[in-house]
Order: sequence, then structure tokens, then C-alpha cells
Amino acid sequence: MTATLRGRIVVSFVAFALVVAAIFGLAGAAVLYSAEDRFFETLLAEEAAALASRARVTGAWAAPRHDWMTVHVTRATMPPDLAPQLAAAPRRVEFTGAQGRHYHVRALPAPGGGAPAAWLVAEVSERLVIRPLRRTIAIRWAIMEAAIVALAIGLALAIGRRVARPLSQLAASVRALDPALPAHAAVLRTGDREVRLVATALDELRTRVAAFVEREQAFTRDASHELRTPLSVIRSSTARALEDDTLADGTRRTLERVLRSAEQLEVTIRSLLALAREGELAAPDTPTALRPVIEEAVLEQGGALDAAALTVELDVPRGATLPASAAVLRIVLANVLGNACVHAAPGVVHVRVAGDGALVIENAVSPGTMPDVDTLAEPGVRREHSPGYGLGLAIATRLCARSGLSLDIRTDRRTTFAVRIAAARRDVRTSHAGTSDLLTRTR
Amino acid sequence: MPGGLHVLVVEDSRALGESIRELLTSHGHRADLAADGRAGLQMALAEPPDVLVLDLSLPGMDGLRLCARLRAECDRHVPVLMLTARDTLPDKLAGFEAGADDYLLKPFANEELLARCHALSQRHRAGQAHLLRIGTLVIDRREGTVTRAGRPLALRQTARQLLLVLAEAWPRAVTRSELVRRVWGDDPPESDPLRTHLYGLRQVLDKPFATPMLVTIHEVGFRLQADA
Repeated sequence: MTATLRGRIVVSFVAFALVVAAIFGLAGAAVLYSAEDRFFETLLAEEAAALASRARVTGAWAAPRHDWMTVHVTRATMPPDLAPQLAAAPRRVEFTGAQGRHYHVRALPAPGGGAPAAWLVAEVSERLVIRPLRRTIAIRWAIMEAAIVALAIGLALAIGRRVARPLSQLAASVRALDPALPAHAAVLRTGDREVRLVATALDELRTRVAAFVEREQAFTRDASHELRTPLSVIRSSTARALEDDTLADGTRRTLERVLRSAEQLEVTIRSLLALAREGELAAPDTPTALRPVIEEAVLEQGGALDAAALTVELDVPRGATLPASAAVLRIVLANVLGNACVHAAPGVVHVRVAGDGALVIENAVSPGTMPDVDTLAEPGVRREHSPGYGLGLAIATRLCARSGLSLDIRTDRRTTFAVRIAAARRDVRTSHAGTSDLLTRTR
Repeated sequence: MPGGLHVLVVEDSRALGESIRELLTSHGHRADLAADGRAGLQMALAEPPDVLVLDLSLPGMDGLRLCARLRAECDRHVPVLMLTARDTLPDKLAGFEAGADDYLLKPFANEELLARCHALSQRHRAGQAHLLRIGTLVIDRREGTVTRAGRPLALRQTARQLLLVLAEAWPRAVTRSELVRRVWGDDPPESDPLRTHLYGLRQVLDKPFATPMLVTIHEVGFRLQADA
């Protein structure tokens, strides 16, 4: 209960009520006992004055008027449960005796002053008013205490509800925050000043986020249009030019390179737009089957793979999945396969699922061309002879990181280069693995 | 491609518009070009084309409004292929809501643009919608018959289903996973179900002819290749 604001308010109110009631209860008891003591002291003072007055006439201490009072000229005649206590504390006036007895003592001064000539002792246990009423007083006090606590709880709940309601509404609004929705108007009208301040600040933030989202959408829409339209011209025109059977071999190779570059640029644009958009990176409710996505990616890269003399060998069971959207996996695979088309040695690209469920894309590189894996996933880091801008793997890595995947680059430092895509446990790593780990094919 | 189509291309990029016009005319079609939305709508209403290839980001009147106005004002159904760089799902849904018949993203493959234009024009031609033609291959979806170069092909049911999936996707390749899903649904047989049935399809579709139409893409899929 204390985890909620309302719970904390209730607990605080109850604790405060208990402490206040305890203090007032103790103070009340002290007042009662003081009044009772003062009553006996007054009676003793009046009796002492009367005894002294008579002693001045008769020269001896007379018997007190009350039978529960006695005069003692020595401690030896006092009740045995009183004498030692009085000897030990001659200035005390109140003593608790044995078997419920209770004494009030007043010194009767000698006519000439100095040490007391006698003591007036009153055994008051039969006349105490408070002691017999202690149980009744305690019960009434407890009832009043319970009533106060109940009142405090009721008050605390009312205040807590009043304070927490706008906050709860605010929390619900923030949880369902949609930049397209209007401001938290209800909270703004009914909340307290502090809550209204928070709501206002959140609305300002919402407005800024809405403006940001609008700018982002406008930017990605414009960027998509401005980049893809000329790319369409390049791709369409090049493909049409390649239909000419009379082209010289050199010209054909040049046009094929233009077409491959246009395809590579298309993958890059798609990746960058996906990175810029919030929604596309959300993980789906159910994991995505890998086999169909890989087949689509290989088909899409078919021309580039053929041009690089690469064939793809799949070792991906039909039930293999990863917890990311198909769109993200398609883009990441297009980047990784496109990277292989540029950098792999001619031969085979193995695409397989490792024992821990990770997707591994593995290819050979020519001796002496192994890149530095520690910097490979950083943007702008290009390998020697790379025609790209060093963005492909960096984009793929960032896409994975934002989509709940991890992308590791592993090499044996000689000729085997592998990209490993798995459900994320921590941020992107690059590492050198042993050859046996890389080359072990696991179903 | 049989029969020249009249295609109106509404595209504000002059370079892309010209490129598409050249592509279409080189394949025997007539192509008109409009560089803005208002001109495109006027041309489409004045002489309704067989297919309207429509960009969305246009000066004057954007593609969505043009499409909606065309649907409201034209006395016949003009097939609209939206050709755009807007690739998000809301953009596509907005396109279909405005009345688009098909949606193709930039950049595109020339073959796919041509095939979609052809398919759209056929879809609205009475009595022709059930026929699929790829080269000399003709599939009659209503009658369930298949001929190649005029010779009837006796295909088993599963082989015919596979051929239909490949033909409907043509010129695009179809992945193995998509073929399995389209024919067997989400609960395919345990063993590789494609091997036997594609062998049977090849025996009937390709073996009696000089040019094979069914092309294998190593490990990942298949596609049909027109033989004429």
C-alpha cells in the first residue's frame, strides 16, 4: 500500500494520529494524577497546620482528625514498608508501599525550625480516585483513539483520492500518450496547482514531440521521394539499356555495375528510413520465421550475388525464428548479404542457425583482406577497395540494437568472416572467435 | 506483351516520366505524360487511359486527390497504379482508400511495372480477367485449363496450383516458403513437399518443349520465364 501515493498519505495520517493520541493520553493521565496528589497534599497541609496550632498550646502532638492519618515522632513507629524509603529519601512526599498501600508524608516542623519534629503520614490507598478508574479510563481512551484513527484514515483517503486522482489521470494520459491527441484538458481543469504544472509541462512536451514527429514524417517522406525518384530513373534506364544485345562488353559491365550500385543504394535508403522511423522497429507479438525472410533477401540480392560469383547455402530449419519484425530482418539481411557481395571471396555464403538460435551468415574473404572487426561496425569505417561509404554494417548494427537484436562480427583473423544475429542480451559486441566455433555447423 | 495499352503517366520528375514513357513505348504501348496533378486529371477525364500510372507527390494536386476526383468524375473505371516513394503502411492504405487498384514502390523493376500495367488492364476487360498469359503459356482460371503453345497440359492439381502461384507473381520470383504457404497453408507436410510436385510440373510444362519456363533460383525460390 505504501507504494502508492494514497497509501503513503494514509499511513502518515494514521501514524500522526496515533502519536498525537498517545501524547495527549499521557498528558491527561499526568494531569489526573497531579490533581489527585495536590488534593492529598492540601489535606495534609491543612491537618499539619491544625496539629501545629494545637501543639503550640498543649506542647504535644495530638492525634489527627482523620483516622487514615497518623503522626510519628520517629521513623521506628512508621509502617515497615515506608520507614526505609523515607530514610533513603527524606525530601520525598509520596511513597508506594506493599500490598497496594500508598503513602503521602508531610514533615511537621519543630517550633524552632531545623529537623522535622514529627511526620504526618497519610495512607491513602482507600481514598485514591484515579487508580480504581484506570481500566475504565484506558478503555475510553482506546475508544477515542480508535475514533481518531478512523477519522484520520477517512480524511487521509479523501485527501489521497483528491491528490491522486489527477495524478492517476495524468499517468494514464502519459501512458497512452499520443502526440496526435489533444492536451490533458480534464487534468488541467481539475488538478491542483502542482499537478496542473506537471500536466502543463507534459503538454508542452507532447506538443514538441508532435512537432518533432511531424517534422520526422515530413522529412522521411521528402527524403524517400527525393532519393527514390532519381534512383528509379537510374535503375529503370540502366535496366533498359542492358536489354540492348549489341552493347560492347565493357559498356555492359559498366552498366551492370551502375545497376548493382543502384540496388545497394536502395538498401541503404530503406535502412536509413527504417532507422529514422519509430514504428518500423517495434518487435512483433510473435517472433518472425527466418526461412521466408532469408529466401526473400537472397532473391532480392540475386543479381549482386551472381555478379560476385557467390552462391548461398541455407541451413535454416523451417521453425527457426528471431524476435524482430520481418521488415527489420529483411533490411539487416540485405545489408549483410550486400556486404558479402562486395567483400567476400567467390564461393559460398553459408546462412545457418546456430545451436543457441542465432542466425549466422558466414563467408570466406581473400587472404590478407580481413578487416579490423573492432572498428568495422562503426559508421564511416571503410574497408580497402570498398565502393561503399562504410555505412552498411553500422546501419545493420544500429537497426539490430534498436530492434531487440544483437549483431556480432566474428572472424578467425585469417579467411573466415561471420555475422551473428541473435536476440539481444546486451549491446553490440565485436570479437575474435576461435576457428572451431566459427566453423562448427550446428542444427 | 499482347495488345498495346494506352497508359497515362502522371509524374512530376521529368526524367522518370520520360524513362517510363520510353519503357512503355519500347514494349508496344502508347504512353502520355503529365507533369502535374491538374493536367493529369484533365487528360485522364478527356481520354480515359487503359492504365493510369500515378505518382503521389505532385504539384498542383497531389496523387491522392487526383485519384479521388477521377473516381468521382470519370464515367468508367480507370485502373490506377500508384507509383510512389511513400512506403509506409498508412501511405499505402491511404492510396487504396483514395481508389488505387495497385501500389508499386520506387525504385521498381521495369518488368514488374509492365506486368502490373498489363494485369490491371486485363482485370477490367470483360471476359478476359480469368486468363493469365505468359509468353505462349495460357492459364484459364475459370476452366482450370492450361495450354502452352496451343497444346493442352495435363497437370495434377497440386502442380497446377504451384503453376498458378508462379504465374500470378510473374515476373517476380517466388520463394520456396511462399510457394509452400500458398499451396499447403500454415501446416505443410513434414518432408520437402515441393520436390515431387515441381518435378511433376517440369515433366509436363518444360520437358516437351525446347525452352524451359520454370527457373530454379538456387536454394531460395522459383520463377517463370516467358518463352516468347
